[in-house]
Amino acid sequence: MVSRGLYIGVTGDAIKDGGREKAGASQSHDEFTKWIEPSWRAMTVLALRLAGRNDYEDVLQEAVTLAWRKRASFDASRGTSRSWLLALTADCARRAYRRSRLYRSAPLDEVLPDSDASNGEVRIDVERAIRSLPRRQRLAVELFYFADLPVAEVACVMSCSEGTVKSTLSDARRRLRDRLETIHVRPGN
Amino acid sequence: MHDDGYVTDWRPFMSDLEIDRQVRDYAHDWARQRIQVPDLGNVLRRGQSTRRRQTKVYFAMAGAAAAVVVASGVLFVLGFSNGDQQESGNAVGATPPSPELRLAETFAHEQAAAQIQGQINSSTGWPTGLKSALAATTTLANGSNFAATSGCSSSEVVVVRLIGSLNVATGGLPTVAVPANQQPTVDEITFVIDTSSGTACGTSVGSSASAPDLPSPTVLYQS
Repeated sequence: MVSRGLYIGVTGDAIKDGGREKAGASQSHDEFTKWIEPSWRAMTVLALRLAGRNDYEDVLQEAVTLAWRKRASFDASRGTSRSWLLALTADCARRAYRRSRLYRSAPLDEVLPDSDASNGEVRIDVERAIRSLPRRQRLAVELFYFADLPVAEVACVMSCSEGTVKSTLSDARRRLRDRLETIHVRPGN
Repeated sequence: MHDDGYVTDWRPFMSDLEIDRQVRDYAHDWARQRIQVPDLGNVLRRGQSTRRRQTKVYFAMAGAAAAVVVASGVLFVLGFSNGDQQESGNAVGATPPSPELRLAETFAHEQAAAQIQGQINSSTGWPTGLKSALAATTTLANGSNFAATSGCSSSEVVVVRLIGSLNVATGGLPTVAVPANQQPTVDEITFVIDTSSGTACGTSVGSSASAPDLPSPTVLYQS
C-alpha cells in the first residue's frame, strides 16, 4: 500500500509530507517568528498596497497562518524565504480581492500619501494608473517599486523568469504612460 | 467633453525613464508616510482573522445554534482569541493555555482541516477504501494513525471525528495516513471536536478554493 502520511504536529516535531521530511518543518513557534521577521515589513507593504488599510492585517494574518501550515514545503534552493512569504501574501491578497473586490473598494484617500497641492494631482493620477493595471503587471509594480525588491526576487515571487519580469514591468510602464499622458481637466483651468 | 464637464487633455510625452521616476517617487512618498508595520507577535497571537473566519463558519452552520453556543463557550473559556480574555475570562477554572499553545492549537486545527481536505482533493487520486471506511464515523484518537485499506464505493457522507485531548503539549495530534488511487464523490465532511478534555479550542476550515467541487467541512464541538 502506498501511503501518503501527513503528520499533524506543531510542537517542533518533524512534519512529513508525502513521506519526506523537509527543511523548516521542525521550526518551533519562536523560530518561526524569527524566520518571518526579516520579511515582515515587505509583507506589510504588499498587503497594505493590495488590500488597503482596512484589510491588510487580515491578509497578513492569513499569510502567516498559511506560512506556518506550509512551512514544510519551503525550498530554499528555489528562492529566499522573503520571496516565498511575499508570494503567500500576494496569494492571500488575491483571494481577499476575489471575496470582496478589495482593490476597487479601497478608497483613494486611504492609500494616497499626504502631499502638497502642487503634486497632489499627479499622485492621484499615479495611484489610479497603478490600480488600473492588469493583475500581473500591478503585482510586478508593487513588488518592484513599493516592496523594493530586485528583479530576481520579483521573479521568484511571481514564479517566472527575470526576463518576464522585465517585460512585464516594461508593459506596465507603457500602460502607465498611456494613462498618465491622458488627464481630465475642466475647461478654462 | 465628458458628462461631468471635464475634457480630456494630454500631457507631454513621457519617456520610460520619466514614468519610472514618477512611480518611484510616488512609492517613496507612500512608503515614508503610510506604512504602519503591525507587531508580528501580536498578529501571530491575536488570531483575529481566524476568529472572524470561525464566526463565519459558525453562522454558516444554519440550524446548528447549539454548536455555535458550545463553540463560543469554548472560545471564551479557553481565552483563545486574545490576551485580554486570557486574563479575565476563564470561567471553568481551567488553566489557560499559553499564547504559544493557543496559537499552536489554532494552527494545528487549521492544519488538520486543510490537510484532510487536501487529501480529499489529492491530485494523485482518492485512496482505496478510505471513503467506505470513513462513511462510518471514524475516530482518530490523540496521536493515533488512521489508515484505510478496503474498497471504496458510491457517494456517502464522510464524517471524520477528531476525538482526543488535542493537547499539543502532551502528545501528537491525530495522523491520517491514506493510500492514493481512486477519486470519490464526497457529500459532506464533518469534524467533530471533542472538547471534554478542556484543551481543544478554535477550529478553522481550510480554504476550498482549490477544491471547488468539495463541500466545506463542517465543524461541530462535542463536550
